[in-house]
Amino acid sequence: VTAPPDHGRAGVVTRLLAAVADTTAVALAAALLYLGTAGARFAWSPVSFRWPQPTQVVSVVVAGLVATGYLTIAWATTGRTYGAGLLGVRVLSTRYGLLGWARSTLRALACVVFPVGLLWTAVSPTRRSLQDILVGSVVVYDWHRDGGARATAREPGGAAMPGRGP
Amino acid sequence: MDERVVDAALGAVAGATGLAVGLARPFLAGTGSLLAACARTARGSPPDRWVTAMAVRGEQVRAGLDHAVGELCRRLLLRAVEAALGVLDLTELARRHLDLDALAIGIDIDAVVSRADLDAVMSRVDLDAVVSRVNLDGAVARVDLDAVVARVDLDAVVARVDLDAVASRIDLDAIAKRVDPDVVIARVDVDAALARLDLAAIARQVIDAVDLPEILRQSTGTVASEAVRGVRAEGMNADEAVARFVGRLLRRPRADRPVLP
Repeated sequence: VTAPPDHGRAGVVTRLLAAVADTTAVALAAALLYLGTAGARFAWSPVSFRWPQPTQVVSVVVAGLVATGYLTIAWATTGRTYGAGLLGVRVLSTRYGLLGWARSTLRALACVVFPVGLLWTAVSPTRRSLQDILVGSVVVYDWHRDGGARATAREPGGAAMPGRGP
Repeated sequence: MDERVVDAALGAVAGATGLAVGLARPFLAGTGSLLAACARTARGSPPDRWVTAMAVRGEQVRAGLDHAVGELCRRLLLRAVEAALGVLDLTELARRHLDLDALAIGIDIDAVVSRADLDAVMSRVDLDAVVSRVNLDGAVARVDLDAVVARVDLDAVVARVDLDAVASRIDLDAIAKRVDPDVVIARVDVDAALARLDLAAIARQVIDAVDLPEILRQSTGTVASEAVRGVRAEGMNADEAVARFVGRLLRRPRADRPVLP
């Protein structure tokens, strides 16, 4: 097993794997939302219960909202989603701090609307996707299981290096 | 002065006796002198030379009489004592009339012992002969060993024993070499021993003591962690491979390390 990297930029393969894991997580969350809605409907009117049959547009919109909310909360609070944690990467600003809510929301929307932009990572000499270039973020290797707040706490001027601690 | 008078009288008697024994010769020879002396003595002026001579003679006679009387008394006393001892039982008399306890109290045993040369006494004792005459079996048979042991304070005895020193002198290796494990194990009734054990209770105690769920969680977590690290490492290698491939396609300078900020 390779030793943990010292916050080099994550490549396209790792990020795609993380994206797949996050997509699965979002799909599960959407399924849970669907089941929760059905359960609420059944509890409200068991006699007239029918499984919800949302239209395709509604389904896509709801799934997009779930994905956007999930990504925004994860990046703004810890800098990593479930998939990012699994693959050992973290999303930070170019100053290696957390993105903040605004940039996290913008990045999440960009990822949901144009996920193909992630492939630019393979071409970019700095391993940045189009979303990274848009919001000024980077994705680094970080195999340590610390919180996102730690990313901005150590280095002077907020330029902390995630994963450098014990 | 009184002794002098007595001696003089004795001398006179002795002289008279000598005269009587000498019969006529001394009588005839000394009658005149004796009469003259008696006359002078009667007149109160006896001659000193005569008195002195008679005193000397009387002193000699008195000494002889003392010696003779003493010798006579000694012989008579010896005969009397011999005769008395032949009649009397002194042992019985002592037992009856003497207070032996009082006498014993008055004896200074320590002084007696201190004056005794015990080394010399012991050197003269033939211990082998003494021991050979002792009936040890009979003596031991009369000893109440239970009573003796009951009076022994074993705790105090054990407290004075240096068990560490005793144990240090024990050659456990030599003892263990003499033990035949096969014989020991052959004598063990394993079935009986197992029958006395509550294996179910023991198993429950072991399970209670071992936090099995926690162990499973830790082992599962360890396996999962190793799997995750493997996936991450493979992802990194794949990243590098893609980066090198793209770099060759775009004719970029080769970068061995991941891109750093």
